[in-house]
Amino acid sequence: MSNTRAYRSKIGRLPWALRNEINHMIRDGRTGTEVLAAINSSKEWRAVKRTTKQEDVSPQNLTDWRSTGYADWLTEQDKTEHIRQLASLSQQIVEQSGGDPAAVGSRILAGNLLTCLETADPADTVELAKALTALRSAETNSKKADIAGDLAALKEREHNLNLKKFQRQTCELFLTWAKNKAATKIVGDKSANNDAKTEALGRLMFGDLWDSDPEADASKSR
Amino acid sequence: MTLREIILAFLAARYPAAFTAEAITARVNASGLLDKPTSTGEVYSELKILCRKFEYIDAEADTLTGNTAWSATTEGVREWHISGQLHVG
Repeated sequence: MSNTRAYRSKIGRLPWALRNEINHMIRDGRTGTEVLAAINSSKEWRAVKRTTKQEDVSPQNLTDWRSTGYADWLTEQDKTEHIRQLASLSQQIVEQSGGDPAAVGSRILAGNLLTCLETADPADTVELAKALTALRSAETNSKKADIAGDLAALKEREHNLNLKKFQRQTCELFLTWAKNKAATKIVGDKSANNDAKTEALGRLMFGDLWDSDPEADASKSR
Repeated sequence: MTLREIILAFLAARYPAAFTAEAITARVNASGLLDKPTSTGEVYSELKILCRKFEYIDAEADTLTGNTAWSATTEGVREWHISGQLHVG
């Protein structure tokens, strides 16, 4: 790895932390004079100077460093950033596609997408972005369909509960009214048909709340 | 730098994404890190060793294509970190 490569120049032989600081200063656009002042006044360089009796680090030394150690450092920074982006993108794809990193399909999908993104030229990337947008839209529609399905299931469940409640209440009513003399008289009336018996029982049991069957009323009036 | 190290670096940097042996071979060759291009067979042999002997990677079947896809394990990612995070572009 280039960040551990041995450099033989004055700056290259400085401790890693100071070299890193120097590289950051150069990257941040600090002038050569500022960088040289920082190096030559550092305790690390002063220690080297005392031991080796060398001249201070010169502008030429700094220029040489820019084309060697600093260039390597920049490349390393790019690689590190690339790795960070890859890791982040892989995680995002896996999470977006199902949220479960253990899911086989999402890991393979992440691999396929990364391959496309890393090997595509810019034009292909635009096409891929369009495809992904379409995929996202399809996913949204699929989720909407899922929600509609859930609602329908909920309504069916509610309907079934109401039906069971109705059945139970009917049985309870039957038990109550079976003991009622007026009701048993209506049920036992052989001269009336079932429609007439239903009407009579309805009026007995529910009074004014009983809503007569319009068709039965119409047939009666005819 | 060996083919095994390069494969692990490629997968670990892209954890938890999974790739087929063919895709890994293409990307390793494109990286230019080897003296001469490798073959899918050589890559496959290394994948099996990394999976069975070291448990640095996992194999899983792609239900759509029937191919085997390979991805790094957390142990593999840790090993890659320890060994200096080689970059396979």
